[in-house]
Amino acid sequence: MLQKRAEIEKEKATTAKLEAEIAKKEVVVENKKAALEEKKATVAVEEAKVVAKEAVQKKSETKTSTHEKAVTEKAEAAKEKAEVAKEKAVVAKEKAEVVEKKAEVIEKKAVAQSEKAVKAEQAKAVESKGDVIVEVQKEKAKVATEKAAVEKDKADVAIDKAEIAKEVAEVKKIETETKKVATPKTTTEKVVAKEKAKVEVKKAVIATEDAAISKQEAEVAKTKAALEGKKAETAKKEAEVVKKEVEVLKEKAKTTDEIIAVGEKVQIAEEKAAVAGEKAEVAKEKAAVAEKMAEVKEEKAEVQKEKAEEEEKKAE
Amino acid sequence: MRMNKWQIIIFVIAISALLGFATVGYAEDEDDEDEAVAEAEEAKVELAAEKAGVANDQADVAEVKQAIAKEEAEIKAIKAEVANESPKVETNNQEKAVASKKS
Repeated sequence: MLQKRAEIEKEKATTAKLEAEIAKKEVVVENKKAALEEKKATVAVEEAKVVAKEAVQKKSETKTSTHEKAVTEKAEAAKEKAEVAKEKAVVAKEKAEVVEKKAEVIEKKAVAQSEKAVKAEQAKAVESKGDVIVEVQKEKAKVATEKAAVEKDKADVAIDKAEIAKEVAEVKKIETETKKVATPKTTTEKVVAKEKAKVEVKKAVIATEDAAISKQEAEVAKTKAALEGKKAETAKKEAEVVKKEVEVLKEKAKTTDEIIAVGEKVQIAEEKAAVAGEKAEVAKEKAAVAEKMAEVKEEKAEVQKEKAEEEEKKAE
Repeated sequence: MRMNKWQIIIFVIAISALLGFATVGYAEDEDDEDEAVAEAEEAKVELAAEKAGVANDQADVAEVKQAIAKEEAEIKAIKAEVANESPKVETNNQEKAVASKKS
């Protein structure tokens, strides 16, 4: 039994190391995302300028106030969109920074877990000096946190699915816009069309980068799902070890509260294993959704490229 | 906040689909005007979605910060466990007794 406890601690240490590695990969992805958001913001500013020029040009052709108002509103929305894109880039940078901090903390946790495993292995047996009631309370709190994390993961999956639907709609929108690209007639129209084409080319580059990042993200999600699977297995094994450990603790328990707490220990360990199993399942779904997202973004990059080529062709 | 973004995304999709139908069956001038109105509406919806996206990203940052606090608490707990545990010999009498009971 004691050997098994040492094995569990060793497994946990291995998992913690893997978690630290995944966290490092996440930092790479987040940094790339932040850099891409900056590029997106730059292109959004350029696009807003082109839309503003287009608005000036279109305003002269408008016959009704409704038409004129719509043209102005489109330009204003583009301008505001550029501002929002700038803000998004700032937030993305902040996210990359906090994810980096998280990776550092996870690495520290891996070190602490390794030390614990070494101690358990060296001693082959450890006697807890801790209060069993306090320990059980702590475990209960941990299970509650994990349950909340699973719910959050489920919500994330739902959001990601909605994001995929949004991307699919955007693909269709780009395809429709590609069909509608008109040949410029006047010199002013030609100037705007050329600038528009340049923006579209940049958008295509961004879409390609975005797809590559999503692919990398999907890979990380897959690795994470595998890790959650391992964690769930460890939790199952731990529940078995706890069952045996409880036999020893039962002998030690003196007060009624201690006896109740010892009884609850197994129940909590089993609940912990069940939650870990559910977390692993959700992680698998999250990885599948991430893969789908990468596919859709690849398709988006493709249609965006086609649109850029069409705009370039017509602008010449 | 996250659900709001979701709702907005669905709204964007719905609006995009509606705008697709809106431009059919008009005369050329009306077509231009209608298209401009549709484009303006689309731009506004896209803007709202982008704003929701930023709010979502900000919520993500807050979540990561929370996760950091959780990890730090776990480190403390692991360290405390290591400090609180003392090695004992494998031939512990109590465990022997449990083992013999089981066998």
